[in-house]
Amino acid sequence: MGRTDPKGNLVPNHDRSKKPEHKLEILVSDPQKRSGDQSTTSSYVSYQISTKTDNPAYQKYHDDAGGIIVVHRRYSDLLLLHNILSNDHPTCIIPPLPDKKVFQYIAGDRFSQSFTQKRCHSLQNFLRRVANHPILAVSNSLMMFLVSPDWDAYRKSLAGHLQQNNKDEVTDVFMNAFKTVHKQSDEFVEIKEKSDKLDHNVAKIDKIFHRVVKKYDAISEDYSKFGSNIQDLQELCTGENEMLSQNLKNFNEGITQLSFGIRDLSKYLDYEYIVDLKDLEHYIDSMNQLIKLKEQKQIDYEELSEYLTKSVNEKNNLISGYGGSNFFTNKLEELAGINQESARREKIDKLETKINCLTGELESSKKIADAFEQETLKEVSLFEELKTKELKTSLGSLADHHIEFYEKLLETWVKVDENL
Amino acid sequence: MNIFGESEEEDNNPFAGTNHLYASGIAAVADGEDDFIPKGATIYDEINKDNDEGEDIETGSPVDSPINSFTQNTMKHDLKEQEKGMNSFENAAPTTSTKFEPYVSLTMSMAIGSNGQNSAETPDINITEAGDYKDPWGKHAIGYVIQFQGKEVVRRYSEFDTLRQALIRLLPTVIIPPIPSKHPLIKYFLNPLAAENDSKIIDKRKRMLTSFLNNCYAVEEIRNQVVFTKFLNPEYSWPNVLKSPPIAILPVNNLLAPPLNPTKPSPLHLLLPVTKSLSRLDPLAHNGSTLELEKQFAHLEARLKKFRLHLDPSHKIIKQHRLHFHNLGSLFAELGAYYNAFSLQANVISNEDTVKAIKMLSNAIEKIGHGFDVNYVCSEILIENLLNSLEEPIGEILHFLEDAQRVITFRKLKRLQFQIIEQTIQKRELRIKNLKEAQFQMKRLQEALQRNAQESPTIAEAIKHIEKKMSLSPTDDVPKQLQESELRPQEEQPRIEEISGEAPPDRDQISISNRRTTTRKKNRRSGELEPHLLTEHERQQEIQKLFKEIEKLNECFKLINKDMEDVNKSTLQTLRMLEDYINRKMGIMIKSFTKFVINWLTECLKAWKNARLIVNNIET
Repeated sequence: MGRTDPKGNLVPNHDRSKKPEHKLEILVSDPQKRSGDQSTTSSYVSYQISTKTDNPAYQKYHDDAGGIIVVHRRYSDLLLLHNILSNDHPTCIIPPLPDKKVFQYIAGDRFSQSFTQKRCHSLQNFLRRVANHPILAVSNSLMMFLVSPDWDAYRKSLAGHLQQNNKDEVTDVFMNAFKTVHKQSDEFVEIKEKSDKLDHNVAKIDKIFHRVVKKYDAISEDYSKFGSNIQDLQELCTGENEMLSQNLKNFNEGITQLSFGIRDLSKYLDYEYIVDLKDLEHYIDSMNQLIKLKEQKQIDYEELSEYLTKSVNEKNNLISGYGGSNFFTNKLEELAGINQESARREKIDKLETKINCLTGELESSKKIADAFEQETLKEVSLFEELKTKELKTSLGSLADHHIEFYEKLLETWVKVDENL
Repeated sequence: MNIFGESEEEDNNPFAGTNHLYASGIAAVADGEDDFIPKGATIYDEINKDNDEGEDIETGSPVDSPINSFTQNTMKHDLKEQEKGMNSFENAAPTTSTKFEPYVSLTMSMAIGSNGQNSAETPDINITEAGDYKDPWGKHAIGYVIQFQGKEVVRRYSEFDTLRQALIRLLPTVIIPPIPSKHPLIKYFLNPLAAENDSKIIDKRKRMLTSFLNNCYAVEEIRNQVVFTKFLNPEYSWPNVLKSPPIAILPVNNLLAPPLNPTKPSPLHLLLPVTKSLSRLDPLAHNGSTLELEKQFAHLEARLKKFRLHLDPSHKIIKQHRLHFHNLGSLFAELGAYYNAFSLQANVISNEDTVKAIKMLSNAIEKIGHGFDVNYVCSEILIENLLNSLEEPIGEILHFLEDAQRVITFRKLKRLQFQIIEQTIQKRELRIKNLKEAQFQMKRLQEALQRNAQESPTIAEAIKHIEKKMSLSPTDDVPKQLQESELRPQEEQPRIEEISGEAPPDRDQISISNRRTTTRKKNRRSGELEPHLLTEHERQQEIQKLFKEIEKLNECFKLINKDMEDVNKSTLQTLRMLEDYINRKMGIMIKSFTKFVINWLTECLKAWKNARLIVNNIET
């Protein structure tokens, strides 16, 4: 019944609490449309991935002093990396990848700037999270992915051989969907509650930002129209009232800048900030999945212990007498010529071995569940840490962009004011 | 300066009427409630306090421009100081957070901007209050208290409307400033204007009616108009003013009166022709004015038309933009609220080690939320200012331009009158000339015939025959024509209209002869009655009549010439004034809007810079 993950042998091979030893900075940029090579006919989008690190293992890959290793990867490469990581590290919260977005593939605008830019930013988030994770960051697969020129060959040889245990998990989760953990630790109750609230808030903010972006676009459009009207007025005044014409020109400059500024801000919000929010939501989902997995382990354990108690009870009943079976069956067995006493002894023996076996199982299951819980807790606090870091960057950049927007416009408008 | 106190209060409570947290007043959130004001921020705090005090003093008396400019300067100064403070603060204590900017100082400083705008042009006439009032008949209405030269008078919207109508009729050559359009009738039935619930419309009317009165006051013709002064004088009851001269004795048609003073028509004015359509106007003819003048008018008209062409879409865009911005503002408010919620629940796990980091994080998130709150408040203020400083003035200009069209049309009608009279005189003179020539020729012919008759009896015979015929034919012809004309008098009427002015004032006496002349004229127009077909007697008669007519026409011509001069002068002046007004107003508009934008940007920037500082302090 209980599935023990063969790889979930829970050897705490790395210490999570320790920060990653080496700096690992990864930058995803410059999405470019590539036409397919011989093997693949369709075109795809490739992303430039630059890595900067002081890890000596990477040393041999960068030739120049700058220490930046540049490779080009496409979305499916990252998907592969994601799969490898999630198979290798079942107890880690694997950062989510952006959605596959099948619709865009059908609609055909997967090469549009807005799509690739958003995906680029999301991939950046993914790799940054991986790089900040103490276990994932030192994974050899990651290094392979980040530096190796042979990655393509590596991918091809792996293709098809990689076991997809995702499906397995899904059915398992589905089977256990209606089972709930009997004894949930307070810590996890709290985590669950808080993560739900967090998810709710982030989703709400995400939704509002979508509307904000739309409104910003409309306003930017308004200003550009207004600007062209001002331009007409200015032309009308040229030759009649030079001063007013000049003023209108100045003013129009401000309006145009306002329109551009708002457009830029809206683009930033759309391409980056909303993506950040979405990624955070996904990350929370990933964490919830891990918690589910942990619960599964616990359910396994609980069911096992239930089974054990049942067996123990049965054995006790047999030992204490006929309590377990009814009179009628006993009579039947008597008629069949079965020696009741020996049969009973046999049964007890069977149960004995079963119980022994179960006790062993239970112990290991308990160990697994406990260890998993510990791992999960560590992982969750790691998530918390990463999330804080991430929020700091994302809020910081939100504030920075706003400051940039207002500062630039303030400068423009003060100039306008001076010229009036 | 009561009005400033009023507007200040309005500006200070931008949340009024909204669902926002601060709707009940900003004072509800005291500074002390902020739980994360660090100790290290006292320097900044003090600077801020100084600012607040300074602003308080300034807002108390923002009356004249020197103080106003001072305010602007100090504001800039404040900003610099705050920035300085922030910078030094950043250097000195990078781990502490800044002060939570109270909304009060923010709205105060923005209110100064709008106050400064108001006091920049000291208005002659103020509307100090608007509210429920009972007119002398006990009917409830919304009265506007007008303050002018120390006196106060209450008038209602419909009275403003009738004043404007009266001015339009009294001063056909002057562009009358617009008043806000009427409340849509359907809305009125569904939801009658009540002083309590439609403060927005009433405020708008208050502003625009103030602007109307001041715009009127700026125009000399209107300022000196007795109706206008009576309107501002509390001793006159407006309904009585409407029933008494000059309004009561206004002519039905302004074209039949002196353009500058329609209440004193001369008898000759009643003789002028009246047309309704301009189709007969020859735009290229420049009689009655110089070519140069016509060019000026054409240029002005084209320019004003273009202004209208460009301002109309601008007006629409600004209106649309205002709605967009308003929506954006409410989204900001929502964001502010959700970020606040977010700040309370930003963590999934907490233990002793992370407690501090979590607190910093939630502070930072709250700051971001605060940034959006400030964005919301500022955008609401900006919208309000956008409405006041751009949308309404542009709407006003558009109405001005509409009225300018009326004045231009009036002038064109006047020109048409002029042209018709001129043409008629020319026609009459030509006819006299023709008649005289015909007479002369007839005489010569007769003389020649008589000379020949003395020699030839056949010719003498023929002459006798002709004479016989001549004596018969007119008597046959004329009555027939008379009959004809009497048979179709209705049909005749509209055609006469054009020249009806020719009828002498004493209509009864000359009605018959009038008919006769018109009949003749009609015939003449259709070319039926050639001069040589008339008898000598008839010719003489007609010449005499025409001479009389021309005499009258010449008098009319003199009159219309003078009218035309007046109209041209006055129209040109008023159009020029309008052009000036538009130019000036546009300058003011962009200047004030620029100020508001700068205020908006400054406040938002401040909030976001604060947020940035706190975000930097998050420990990871």
